[in-house]
Amino acid sequence: MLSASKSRTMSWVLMALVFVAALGYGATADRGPRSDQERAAALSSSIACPQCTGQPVSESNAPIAETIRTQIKQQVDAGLTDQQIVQVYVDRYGEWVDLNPSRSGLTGVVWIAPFLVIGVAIGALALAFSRWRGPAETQRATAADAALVQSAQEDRPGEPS
Amino acid sequence: MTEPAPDSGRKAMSSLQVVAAAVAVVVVAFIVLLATRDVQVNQPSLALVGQNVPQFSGTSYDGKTFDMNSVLLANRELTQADQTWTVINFFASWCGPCRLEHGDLTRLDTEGAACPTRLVGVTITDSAENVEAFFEDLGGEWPVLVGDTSGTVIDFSVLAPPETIVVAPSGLVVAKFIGAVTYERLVEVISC
Repeated sequence: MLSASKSRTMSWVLMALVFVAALGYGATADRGPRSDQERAAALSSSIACPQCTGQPVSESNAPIAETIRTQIKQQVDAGLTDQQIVQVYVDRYGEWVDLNPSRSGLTGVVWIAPFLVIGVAIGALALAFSRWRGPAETQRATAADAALVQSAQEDRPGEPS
Repeated sequence: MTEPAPDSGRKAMSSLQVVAAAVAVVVVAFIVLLATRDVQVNQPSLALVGQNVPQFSGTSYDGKTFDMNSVLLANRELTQADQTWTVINFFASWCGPCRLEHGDLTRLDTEGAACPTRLVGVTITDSAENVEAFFEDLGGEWPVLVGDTSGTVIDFSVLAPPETIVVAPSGLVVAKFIGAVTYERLVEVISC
């Protein structure tokens, strides 16, 4: 049988493997070909309505939002890639219409920030757990302690030493 | 007395506090940096001014066709005095300020400006019937493109009607007006 600490390590390794496998599956599972309709809907949710306050064109009834939704459908049918379609609107209205934060510069950090936070959290938890378990406390009696016990035993006659 | 246990407990706690403090500092710095960045949101884009007018064409509510490129090509054949300026008015029959500025546009169409000027309207989510009714009601004789104008609307970075673009005979965009225009403001930018 494995020792206690070895089996503990094993369970951590196993848990990490399951975690990575689940993450990998979840991230890649639904990468099948998307229909034109799904693509148009996804793009409409990622382009801001230029006239509204933060709403994507999929959620706004403003005429310009309707116009953009129509054009997105036409562009998807015409075969433009997602990136090309988003670029059309960024060129005409500015970077801010792209609701997905840009991947470069300071805002790019938001893409990895969740992972950084998880990493720091795991590290901090590991540190806290190690503190609670504490190093094995082997108290060793000093010579003064032995003398104290000896004198106490001598003071009580009739007790087995 | 027993020896006190090694001081690892207290050391580990302070390193935990250090980690927490570091994370807090980073998060606060991040928030401050992001909050103070200059983000242009919901501002009309005037990037078109100073550039060449985007090519567009369409059919007017009365059946006539209009093609921007043809106007520019024709201008090249004409003397400078005869070349026409083009005023493109993005418009909709349901838009209030469009009604307000209609008188000024009609005045531009009839009285003209310092140079020959032609007016063309482009609708945003509107129908030929509504436009016809609007023009019957308020007057005006210039072509107004109806139908699928979405490409044109996006190409001109229009947010909402009314927006008016003044194009020089060469095709250079000299002005973009957001909101209702007046006759005075239009003739001010038309010079030959």
